[in-house]
Amino acid sequence: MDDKEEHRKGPTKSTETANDVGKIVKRWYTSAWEAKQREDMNVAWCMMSTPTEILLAMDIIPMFPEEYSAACAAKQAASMYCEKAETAGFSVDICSFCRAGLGYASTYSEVDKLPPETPYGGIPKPDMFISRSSCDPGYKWFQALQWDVPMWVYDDIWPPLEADLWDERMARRYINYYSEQFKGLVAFLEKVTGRKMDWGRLSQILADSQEVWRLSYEINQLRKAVPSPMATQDHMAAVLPFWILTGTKEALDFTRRLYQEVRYRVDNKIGTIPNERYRLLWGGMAPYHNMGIYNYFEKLGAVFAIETEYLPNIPIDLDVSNPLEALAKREYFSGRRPRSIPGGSKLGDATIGYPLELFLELVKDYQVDGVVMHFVRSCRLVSVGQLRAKQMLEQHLNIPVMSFEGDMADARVYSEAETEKMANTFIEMLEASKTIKR
Amino acid sequence: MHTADKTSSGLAMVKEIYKNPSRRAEQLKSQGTKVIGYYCCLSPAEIMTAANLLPYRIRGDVHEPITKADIYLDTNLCPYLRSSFDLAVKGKYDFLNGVVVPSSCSNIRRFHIFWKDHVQPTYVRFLNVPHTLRPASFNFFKAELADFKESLEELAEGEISDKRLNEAIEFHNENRALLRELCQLRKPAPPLLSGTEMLQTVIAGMTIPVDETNRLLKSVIKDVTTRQKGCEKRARLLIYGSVIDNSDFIQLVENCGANVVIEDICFGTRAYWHDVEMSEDPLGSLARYYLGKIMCPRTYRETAEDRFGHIIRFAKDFQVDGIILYAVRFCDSVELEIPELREYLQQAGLPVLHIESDYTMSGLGVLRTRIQAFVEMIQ
Repeated sequence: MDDKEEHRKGPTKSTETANDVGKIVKRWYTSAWEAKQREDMNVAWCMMSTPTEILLAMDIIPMFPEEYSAACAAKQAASMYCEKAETAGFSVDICSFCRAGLGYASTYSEVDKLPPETPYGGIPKPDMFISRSSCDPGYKWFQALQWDVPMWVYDDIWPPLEADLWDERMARRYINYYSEQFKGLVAFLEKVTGRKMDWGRLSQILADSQEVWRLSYEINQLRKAVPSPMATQDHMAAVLPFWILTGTKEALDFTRRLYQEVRYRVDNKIGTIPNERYRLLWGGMAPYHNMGIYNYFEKLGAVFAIETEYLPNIPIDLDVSNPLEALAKREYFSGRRPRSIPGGSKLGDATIGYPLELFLELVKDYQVDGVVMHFVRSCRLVSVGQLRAKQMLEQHLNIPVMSFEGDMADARVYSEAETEKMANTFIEMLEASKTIKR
Repeated sequence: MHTADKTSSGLAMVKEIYKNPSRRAEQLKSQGTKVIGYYCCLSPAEIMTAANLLPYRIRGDVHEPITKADIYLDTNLCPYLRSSFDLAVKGKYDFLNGVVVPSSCSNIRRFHIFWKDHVQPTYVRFLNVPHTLRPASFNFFKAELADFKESLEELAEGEISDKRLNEAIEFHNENRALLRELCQLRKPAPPLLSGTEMLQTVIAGMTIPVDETNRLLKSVIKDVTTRQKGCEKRARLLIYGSVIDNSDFIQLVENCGANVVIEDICFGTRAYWHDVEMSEDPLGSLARYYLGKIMCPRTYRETAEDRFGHIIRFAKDFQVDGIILYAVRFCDSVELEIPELREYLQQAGLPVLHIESDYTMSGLGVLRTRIQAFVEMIQ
């Protein structure tokens, strides 16, 4: 097997625990297929950041087509599904997760049985859709499928970047709105399934998911160590249990194991690569169709110590005995990591908007030598502002930045050879920069 | 050709304003009026009017190459937004005292930051507009509007009373009613005014104070109802889609042998087809109108009938022969509707042409050929 084939197979991860993610996800899919066979309204297709605790408390298995598109990309199937959606009239500019999902669904609709090469055996057709409005495809995608499946859309609505999240009047308005919407979600699920919410169970599930978020935050704190105990490719895998299985015992078990392993690696100074020469920050979404890019940098002596995507929120106290209010509060503060510190109101969103303050914090705390930014073509939500972030980094931090165009799922707009060439030049630049500093 | 009669005073004035859209705003600014630029038909102009500010609809320029904006803005962003921002960094919107940016779609969600950083007018306001239509969504939006009103009061240095707000709503309702009245004059075959004239009138009215617009519209209606010669009888088209803020595209379609008789776009019926209800709770009325009544695909509506039914009704009322679905690249909310909408319209027996545009008037030759072929097919 040559290097390129090895990349396509998937990245080499630094932790053993992160290697379990594929098996965990596969088991999750299997449980969804089994639930589907029971034919009692058990499977929901959701968008990322859906408060899955509510679903789990009602014995509904959440499936995430966004995540499945990423899985298809990793298996080199996403571009094929994208093409299928384009043939049906969807623009090539639409989110590639969405296009791949539409293509997969179209395949699914055409056959009685999914072909054996379907990545991970596929995900079962849903009994309900849960969409959210944080991006346009987030609430249009499931509608575009034209399946006769009940759907609930909620507003995932954030204050502007410059707002003071701790302004009581504003916080109350947003939290009340989320809370009302989650009440509506419960009512929708009760109607669709004919089952009643078990509020005690929801509180317990929420307590477990809080522990997952707390541990995932602690893991990221441990990642500040030199040498880097856990690299970006591990984080991008670990976010699956963190985000999509949150609230399950499996996610809790996984996160505990990952925490212990990372702790052990820090205590014993076990790094991702033997000779860590450069520590990098990854900006933007991962290229799921070529996760081997991280290993390519590692061969050049560089490790991605931290990234801007899916950063866990700073844990906040939630009253799990009032679960909908607690979920609403979490939603209000989620994804806005630096601002969730009182007094940190001007710092901006963690993943949205790329404020300079976030980079300043990450570069300093994680002792970063350079930044690599992946400009994703098809995601407006993440990509708008990336150019601004790059300029700010160069102007204010005087730190080398490499940027390259690509996509999270669609390999057709990505050039592996070109990106690797840029990586080589970038590392030479980093070396020169280090020499000058010395 | 679809041109105004030379004696048409209202239409002649429209043409003049359309050619020099910022002239009146700059004049008023020099006399002390603050001018507020706004994006989308989701920005409540009534509150700006009530604060004695001049609401001014921001446009791009389909003919001006984007040369400065791409330094700051990613190229996979809506080209209309990039174009408007390009004009702003080139100083063409320097007469604005402020800008209002509603959270209409993913493209525009963080756009106000770029204005703040690189254009730096005195006032930059992001307005959070929900995407759903439940009672809680309207309550949330009403509270947002209250904050928005408060920020304008600060800028205008004066309180906006409910009475004043209701007066402004009346003015804007009259404006919408006049635009609808004008639009009705496109129902006869041939229509009494062209799509090009209609769009220019809508745009011109968004650059001057609403009372002046209303006087202008009355004059235009008089011109059109009394004109000797309107358009020639041709295939009648409806245009649906993303932003069209320049009449050249409509002109191109009409030059291909069609009459554009109705538009479901944000510089078209979306901006004037309904009224704000008069009530003792004007902010509540505005919330219900701006969130509930504007038929932009950025708002989630459940059924195909809810989303597309009005297009069929337009098509019937205006006896449309065919529909152009016009999508600007990167306009995800429109692009994601296209396959289902096309099917829906075709099932209703309406021929459809889908055009994906980069917003500029480039590639005219190909576009003209496609439109001509479509028009020939439906005639």
